[in-house]
Amino acid sequence: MKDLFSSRSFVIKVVFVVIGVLFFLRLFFLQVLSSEFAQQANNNAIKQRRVEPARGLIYDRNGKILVYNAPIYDVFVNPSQAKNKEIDTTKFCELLSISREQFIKYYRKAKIEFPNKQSIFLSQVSIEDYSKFQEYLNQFTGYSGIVRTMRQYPYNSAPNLFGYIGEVSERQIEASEGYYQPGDYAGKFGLELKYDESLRGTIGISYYYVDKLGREQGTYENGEYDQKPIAGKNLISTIDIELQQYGEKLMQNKRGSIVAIEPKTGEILCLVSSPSFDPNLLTGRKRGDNYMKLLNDPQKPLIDRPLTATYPPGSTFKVFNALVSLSDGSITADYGWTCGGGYHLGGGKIVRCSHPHPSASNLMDGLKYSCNPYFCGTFKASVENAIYSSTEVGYQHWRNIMLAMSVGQKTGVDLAGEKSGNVPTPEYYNKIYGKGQWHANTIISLSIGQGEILMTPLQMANGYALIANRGYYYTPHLIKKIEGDSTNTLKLTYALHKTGIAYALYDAVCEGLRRVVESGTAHSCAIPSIQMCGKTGTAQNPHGENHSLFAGYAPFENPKIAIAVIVENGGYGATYAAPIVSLMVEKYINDTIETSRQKVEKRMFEADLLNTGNYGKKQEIIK
Amino acid sequence: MERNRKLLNEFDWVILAIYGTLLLFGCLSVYAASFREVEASSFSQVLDVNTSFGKQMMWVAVCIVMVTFILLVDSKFFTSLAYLSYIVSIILLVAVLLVGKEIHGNKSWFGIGSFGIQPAEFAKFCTALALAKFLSNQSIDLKNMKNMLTAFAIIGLPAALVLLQPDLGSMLVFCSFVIVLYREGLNPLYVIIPLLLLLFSVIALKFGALVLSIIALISLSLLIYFNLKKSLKTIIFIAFVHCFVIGYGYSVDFIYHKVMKDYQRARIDYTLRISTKQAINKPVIKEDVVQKIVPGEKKHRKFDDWNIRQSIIAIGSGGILGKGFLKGTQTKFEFVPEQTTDFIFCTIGEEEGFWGTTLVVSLYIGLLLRLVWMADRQRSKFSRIYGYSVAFILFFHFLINVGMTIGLVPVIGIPLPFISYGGSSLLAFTFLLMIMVKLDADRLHVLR
Repeated sequence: MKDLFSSRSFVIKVVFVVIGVLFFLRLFFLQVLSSEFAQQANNNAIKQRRVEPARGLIYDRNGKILVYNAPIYDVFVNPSQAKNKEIDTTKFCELLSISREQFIKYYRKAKIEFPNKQSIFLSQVSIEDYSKFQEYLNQFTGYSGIVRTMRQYPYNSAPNLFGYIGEVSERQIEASEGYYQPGDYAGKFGLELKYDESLRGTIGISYYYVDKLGREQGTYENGEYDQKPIAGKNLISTIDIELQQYGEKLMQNKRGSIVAIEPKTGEILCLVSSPSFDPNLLTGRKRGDNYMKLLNDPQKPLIDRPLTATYPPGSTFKVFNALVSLSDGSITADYGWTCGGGYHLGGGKIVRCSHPHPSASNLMDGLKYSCNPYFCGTFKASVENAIYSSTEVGYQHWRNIMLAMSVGQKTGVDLAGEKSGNVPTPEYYNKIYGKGQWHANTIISLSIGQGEILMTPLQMANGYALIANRGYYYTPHLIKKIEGDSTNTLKLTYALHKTGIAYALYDAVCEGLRRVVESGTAHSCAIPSIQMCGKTGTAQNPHGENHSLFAGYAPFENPKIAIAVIVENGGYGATYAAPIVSLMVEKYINDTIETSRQKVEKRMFEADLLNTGNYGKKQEIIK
Repeated sequence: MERNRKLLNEFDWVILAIYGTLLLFGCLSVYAASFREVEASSFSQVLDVNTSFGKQMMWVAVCIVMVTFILLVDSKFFTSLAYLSYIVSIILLVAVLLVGKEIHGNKSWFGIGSFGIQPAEFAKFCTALALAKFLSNQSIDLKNMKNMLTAFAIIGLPAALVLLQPDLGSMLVFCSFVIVLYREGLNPLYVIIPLLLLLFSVIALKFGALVLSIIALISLSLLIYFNLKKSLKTIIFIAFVHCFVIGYGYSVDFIYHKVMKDYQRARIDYTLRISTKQAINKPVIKEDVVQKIVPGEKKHRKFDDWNIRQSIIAIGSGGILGKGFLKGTQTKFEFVPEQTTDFIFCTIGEEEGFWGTTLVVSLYIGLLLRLVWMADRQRSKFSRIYGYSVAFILFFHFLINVGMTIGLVPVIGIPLPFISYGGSSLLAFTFLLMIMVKLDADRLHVLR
């Protein structure tokens, strides 16, 4: 009996020891041999959060802030903590300016997606609404706010330049190579898009603890492993915001564009697209609604006309035509033309002038009177010059020089979406008329900027900058410097383009342009204190009233501004475009408008083509 | 003075030292498990009786008073009160089913203010006392069927009552008394057969009832073949056993698939490493899958495999040296469930690492071996039986509790003695152990 008991007691002791050893081995396996559990514990408790850097600012050429970041708030909710039955929902909705239905909808969405975690309830609440809401925040258990930033445009101007930011698209996420994640905001258009990489900065990461319910429990290791965000770089633009705003005011209630360039540098001074709108409409919570409204507006304010609208340049083109003829020696500055009978195309067709004027005895007067037959003559002289083996070769040469002057060719401006315009290729005419079957007279309307020729307003301004410079231009651009921290500001350089036309040949052209304003078609727009040069244009278009054009530069000596204006369906060039150019030039150079010219200014401000039937008929002006 | 010193020398200081160390471990672990950086701003708050730690400290103080009382009182007091305390505890177990407070679906608590009392914890040592009293009677022999049934009844009554609460863990602890009976001469079949059934269940669940029946067929055929007495009687008996095994295997299968609830199945799946269509092997958090979005219902149901996974992550992430006191993220941020009570071992594993868990396991094994050794040196049958009861109650708690936190035993809610938070269990275990220490100290003076 004694043996039985002691052996049973022994069995029991062995069982205890075996269990102890078993546990010991299991713990050894879990705690010493396995390494994956530490990582799994960290995955549970340590979360990382991306810290958005401040987006870079944009300044104008005079250091004025054009785009900055304003605080905006996102309201978050944690459905496991929210006590909707106890809170005053009427007040809640009122403070955040939302409806009861919206409240229920947003709450339900958050609850279904993240019942235990904090998630977004309402995004982009304005600082005004949020500050009211914040006063009562302690009554709204489970709700909280996080500050973000929103773009603000203090000048309410130039939406086509700045563009806007919005939630990134799939394509942008892919292209950013891991920088962007869904829900981030990125540049979608304009400078915001083009310079997105500079503006966005570098995202930071902060690590923090969460508990089982996803509630934040303090920073991880006091932020030792956090990566601080690096703010985006500031852009110094070439825009003169006052000139831009003045241009927008002159263009109010009209459709069209103003492009002004500093000839010596290629810096774009203003880029007005009319009708315009307040860029602040495309920020904050109402962005989507406003965007749809603008998209459906029959006047198409979202179109960036200076870069993407193409027009027949009309008579403003005559200078380029004349320059080609001068350059290959087809004519000299003394080339004359007797206008009386017009330009005979044969078959009884005649190109006539739209207005009576004395015959031009030289190029300067040809420009001054804007004599159509004169430039038909120079075109024919050039294209059919005996030095070329055929008309086709002559035209090819003519076209090449046009492209070199950025006519019908993208300028390479630092904004997306630029259109190239059009100078038809010889092949195009071969296809229509047959090889060798077309002559200068067949395509004579090119000589006066009609026919197939199409230019963007930017190309026109750039072409006149080239004339102001007498033979070269810099790629027109909007950003001249990218500011990093104080030490590494990046000054951008842009390409210099030369036309290869001799400097001296420009004398006659420039003199002609001076006379246009002094005593020619635009003499009513002369500025007493500034010698302005330019050329009117009245572009026929099949859809309605002619477009009013004017392109030029000023002053005659040492030009400071080259400018092109188009007022769609504005009639004669001298009616709207020329006065607007003269006012822009006077404003830019003198900073004020002389008393004697204020009536012109007033007339332009008040001119209303939108509401007086000019655009009344259904038209499709923009191609 | 002389008598007092003699008295002190008679106490088993090894057990008292282990008890004290485990109690200290318990206090630190409860503090760590209930510690929240955000809230623990001042020490006075820490000792607030409304916090877990504050309450536990109060219970520790009560325990120290009780230890002193038990060690000073004459041990006859316990033997004479054995049946009475058993009857009282049975009454309380019935009462708790009628008027108890329901917590997490279990009716096991009497609520008194902010405190709760769990009669099942006290019933354990009362049953131990009653069983010892019954078996210590010289006329009792476990080979006598009537005596044996009486002994089973003493155990079975409280076991059945706690199962009604339902408290599966405590029920299993009462089963541990069967092993005490084994020590006292019960036919080993009473221990071997349940263990065999457990083995059959595991085989049936892990490999299927078919595999179990094939194994049974082969092993029983071999038994018949090698059995020297190839009488018809044995063959019929063995065939009968075989039929029983097959029937058992399929009923286990049936219960597993048709009777058990999802969460119970998940616990078994995890322990047996069965990969089912719920894909237990994949580290998927099933938190959101089963939760219902019903207004007003705050509690979210989870597959229990999530809990056990978090428990293992906590212990495994502790490594050799641990993350340091109060630095366990799994426990501090509540990824581990019930971390002050059933899963307290995770806190030790995570913050103190392998050396901490090894120390605790060693302390327990040391305590258990010492208790068996101590029981065997008793001259009185009462003390011996009581001593074994103490050892097995503690052993079952240790086995199930630590076993479940390290994924060797299915999740069964049961506290880790002296360490888990909870006044009832701490006080009951203290009574349980200290009565044995006192009986041992008096072994030379009293002959029972």
